[in-house]
Amino acid sequence: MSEIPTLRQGEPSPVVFHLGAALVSYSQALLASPRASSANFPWRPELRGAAAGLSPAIDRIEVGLEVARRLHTMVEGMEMWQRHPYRRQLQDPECIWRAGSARLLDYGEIPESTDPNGLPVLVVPSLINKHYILDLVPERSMLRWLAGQGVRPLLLDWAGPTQDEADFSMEDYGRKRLIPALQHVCSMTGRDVSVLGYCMGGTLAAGLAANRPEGVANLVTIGAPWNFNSTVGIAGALRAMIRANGPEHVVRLLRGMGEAFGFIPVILFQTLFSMVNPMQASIKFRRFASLDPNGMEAKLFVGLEDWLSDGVCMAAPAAEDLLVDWQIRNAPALGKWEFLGSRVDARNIRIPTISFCGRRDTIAPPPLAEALPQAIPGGAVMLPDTGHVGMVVGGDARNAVWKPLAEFLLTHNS
Amino acid sequence: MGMNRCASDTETLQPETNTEAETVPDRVRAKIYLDLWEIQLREAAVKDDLTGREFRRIWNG
Repeated sequence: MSEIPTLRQGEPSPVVFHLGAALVSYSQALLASPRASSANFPWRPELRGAAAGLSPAIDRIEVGLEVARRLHTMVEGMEMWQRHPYRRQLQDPECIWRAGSARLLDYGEIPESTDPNGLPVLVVPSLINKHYILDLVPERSMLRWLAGQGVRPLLLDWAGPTQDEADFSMEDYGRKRLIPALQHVCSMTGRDVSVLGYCMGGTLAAGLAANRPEGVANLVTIGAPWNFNSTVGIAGALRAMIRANGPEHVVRLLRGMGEAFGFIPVILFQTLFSMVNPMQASIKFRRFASLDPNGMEAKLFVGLEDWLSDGVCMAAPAAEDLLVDWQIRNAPALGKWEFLGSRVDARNIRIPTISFCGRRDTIAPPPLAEALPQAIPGGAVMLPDTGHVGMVVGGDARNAVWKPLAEFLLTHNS
Repeated sequence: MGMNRCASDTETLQPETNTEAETVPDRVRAKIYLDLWEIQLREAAVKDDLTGREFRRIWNG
């Protein structure tokens, strides 16, 4: 008898938000449907041509039935993910250094590596998601691919805050984790190292390169936010709303959560990410429901969803730095971000730098991310036609990001 | 066909357009409509400037 795979624990978090957003949005669509073909209906200009085909008015019963089908298929997709047998198989490479719960993982020692003593690159991921998005599956692992190109990625896994890091601010993460990890790599390899940061790890890497450049040879950022004042859409609206009412409310909220839970729960960040694009869950789970569950695409979807639902909580002071100092006050772009002892001025970064800013990135869109390389003297920008996660794990990632990234590193191998 | 289609002056005035549209079943057009609706919402959610003075006035009551 074949073994029945265990259902996943958990859900596409926050599932109540995803379902509620879909219900509300489709209900509004149902209510608005009799006017869909009206010349006064506020379709976006690029949709008006297609919307002209909606005349005469569509039978509202048919719209209701289609809404029901979409909601049903969305839930079907969620259930298909929950019972899918695929589990990520990759094991973390050898840990060569520890500080608190943070670890340094050496990709020079994996079977795919062509040179265990290759060009050392300290890889800095985000603090609010697990490190393994950079090593999700063998076919889409940026770090394993780089290791096959003569590069030696050394991944700083922050891990979730434990007792050691419960009161950590960004400054603490910089002083007590990032700098010691860099110093360890420099001392172990006997040379300066390149630093590659993904998402907010890129922002931290830029702060390091600006204020503590000793030992840093090159800087690479992928989807690293910088100018939060450029934020538009729902994220921009939330930001403007909070600014209008004063960020002290958010500070109180975060400190209260920190006292109540001991940290900031991951669901807060998952909710904020979901709010940026409320219909995304409906669209992606419906698409997943249409895939061959045994195919590669379905496996990748499952791996990615598992990663998304496996986020980490955050130390309350660090969350305050991220959500208030960065997001609301825009401290990085205004030159007011205090990190590693002084204010960060990107103009002080004097090492070769390249930044990848995805054209379809909704987490750190180009205006938010491009501001960093634009502020760095000689900073290069690449605009791959991908999203935030797509830059490291998407189907086009190898050609659009990994290859130019490896070329940059190997060219600047001094 | 659609129950909201009845006795429309627009329909009378634009017979060619409507004749063309009637060849597409309502079920298909409902799908097209909801596809467009999803794009409309996504684009507004990630691209529109919702931070202007009018929005701030609404938020501040």
